[in-house]
Amino acid sequence: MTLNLPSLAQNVIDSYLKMRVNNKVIVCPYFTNIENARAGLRVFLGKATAKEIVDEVKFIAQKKQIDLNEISEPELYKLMADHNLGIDCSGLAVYITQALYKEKKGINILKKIKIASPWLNPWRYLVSKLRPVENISVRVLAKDKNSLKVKNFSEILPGDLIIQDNLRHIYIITEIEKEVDQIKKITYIHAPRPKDKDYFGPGIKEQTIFLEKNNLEELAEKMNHEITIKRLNF
Amino acid sequence: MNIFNYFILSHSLLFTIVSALIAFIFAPFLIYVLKKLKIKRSFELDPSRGISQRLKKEGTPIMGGLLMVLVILFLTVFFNWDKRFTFVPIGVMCLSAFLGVWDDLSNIFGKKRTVSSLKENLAIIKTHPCKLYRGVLILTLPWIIFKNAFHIFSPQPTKGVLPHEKIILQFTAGAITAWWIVFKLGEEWLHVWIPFNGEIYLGYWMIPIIIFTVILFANAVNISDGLDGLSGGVLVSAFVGLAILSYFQGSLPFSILNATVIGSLIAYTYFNVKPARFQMGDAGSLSMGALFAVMMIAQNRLFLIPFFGFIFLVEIFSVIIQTFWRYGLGRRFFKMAPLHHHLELKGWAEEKIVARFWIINIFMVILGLWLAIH
Repeated sequence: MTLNLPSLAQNVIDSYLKMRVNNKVIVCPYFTNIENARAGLRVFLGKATAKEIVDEVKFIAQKKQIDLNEISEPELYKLMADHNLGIDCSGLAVYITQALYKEKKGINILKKIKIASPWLNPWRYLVSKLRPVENISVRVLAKDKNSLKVKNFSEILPGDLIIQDNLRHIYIITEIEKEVDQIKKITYIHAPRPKDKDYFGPGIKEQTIFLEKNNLEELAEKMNHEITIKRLNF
Repeated sequence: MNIFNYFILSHSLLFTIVSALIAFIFAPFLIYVLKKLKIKRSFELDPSRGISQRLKKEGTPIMGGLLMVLVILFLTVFFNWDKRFTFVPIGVMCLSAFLGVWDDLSNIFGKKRTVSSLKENLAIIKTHPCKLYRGVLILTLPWIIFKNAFHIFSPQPTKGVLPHEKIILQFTAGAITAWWIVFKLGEEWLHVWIPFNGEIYLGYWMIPIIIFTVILFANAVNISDGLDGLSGGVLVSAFVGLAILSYFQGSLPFSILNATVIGSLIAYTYFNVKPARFQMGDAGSLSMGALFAVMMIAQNRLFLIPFFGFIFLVEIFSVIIQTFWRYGLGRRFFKMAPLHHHLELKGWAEEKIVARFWIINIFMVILGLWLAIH
């Protein structure tokens, strides 16, 4: 039995995996917030939708009088990397889960996710109300107020979040293959930070792990990280 | 209301003709001087340089607004000087023109200037070893916040006058106007006319309203001055509306002043339509914007400003909306603000944008005039 993400969430993934920029179809690059920028357009903060990223690269090309039909794919990636265009891991997770919960439960998770306390940090609370996506990090998604640990490994579902215990990265499960109650295969998507600082190229990866023991420890071992699987509790 | 006043009509038309003729004769000379002095448009720090048609305007002389300012000044001082009615509008126009000239010349010949951010200053306050210096910075923190508050509307580096400096000078112009209206013109100017309703008494509330209106319109016309013929043509329709109003009101000094402005604007716009021989620059846009606001207030038709200056308001609100959307929501509302840049990026031809904006403003002026007679 194969469990997949519903169509809206899959459309979001496709929009990042198959970004059409004029005559090219590319994978959205990764965004790195090296300067720790906070304000400004979210498209330059790694928190934009695929459409916003495409629109922005077209706008930049128009300003610089670059013909996007003429440049090569590596040149396009470089152009995007030079202008901080891309998506980061938490941004990707937010948009996928937003689409998932909208379709499954009719909920807008941006209105439900608790980011800051209005009493302890009123300014941050106000900012997070206006700009929720930019303020949702892996840490925010991992908070117990927002997500609960999936205790039974066999009950994990597409849309669940695999969170590194150091809260530095997040993956979203997109497909699960089961035999009876045993999980045999997990496919997930993520936007990993490139090892090389000067890398420019595809930034989103969809990977598959085959399991034999059907437990979290095996998954963690194969992913080379201490992880927890959580599900938004909305 | 006067339906037909031969004296006012005749003099207004005469001043329009004379003003236009003087401006027509003077314009080529002004263009020559501006070119000789290399007072030309540069897109080095202009955020709209990315729009491909923009770069064709590189090298166009700016400060062409001096044509209007000097012609209006000359004719008013020598033929329409009235200490009660024309003294302050001309004074405010000249003060705004001075600011505009300073900005235009600094943009061409000055050095790049930025505003030090609040974040930087707070970091210095936390870490600087000298207590006295930290104390000074703490005391000047309100000033730094003030500077940064206006910087968000114009965050690009500039060589010209910084936004907060402009606001201070414009505030001064607005304050002078407010002083004149509230304390010199008379009690009736403390009432604001509302169509279909008569008048409401605002008293000293007129002071902040006047200051705000002068600042708003000086900047609105400045922002709108981005396409050949745009500001000039829209100002013509706006001042024609004002001239018709002043004629109905039976005010000779205001009728003649408005007529003088129309004449100079006609000549200016003739040379400014695409391809422009010169542009008005801040010298023209700030002065004409301030003058427009002053005249609308002086003729006690504040309520008609959104009609007579419709396009200018649309343009400045497009900038305000874009700024709020950018910093408040992190997204673009328009491809680029103000609105005419957005339309250019959507593929509208410059001539189409200008023509349509003229037509829309003419319609709104007609609508405003209809309201004025009720």
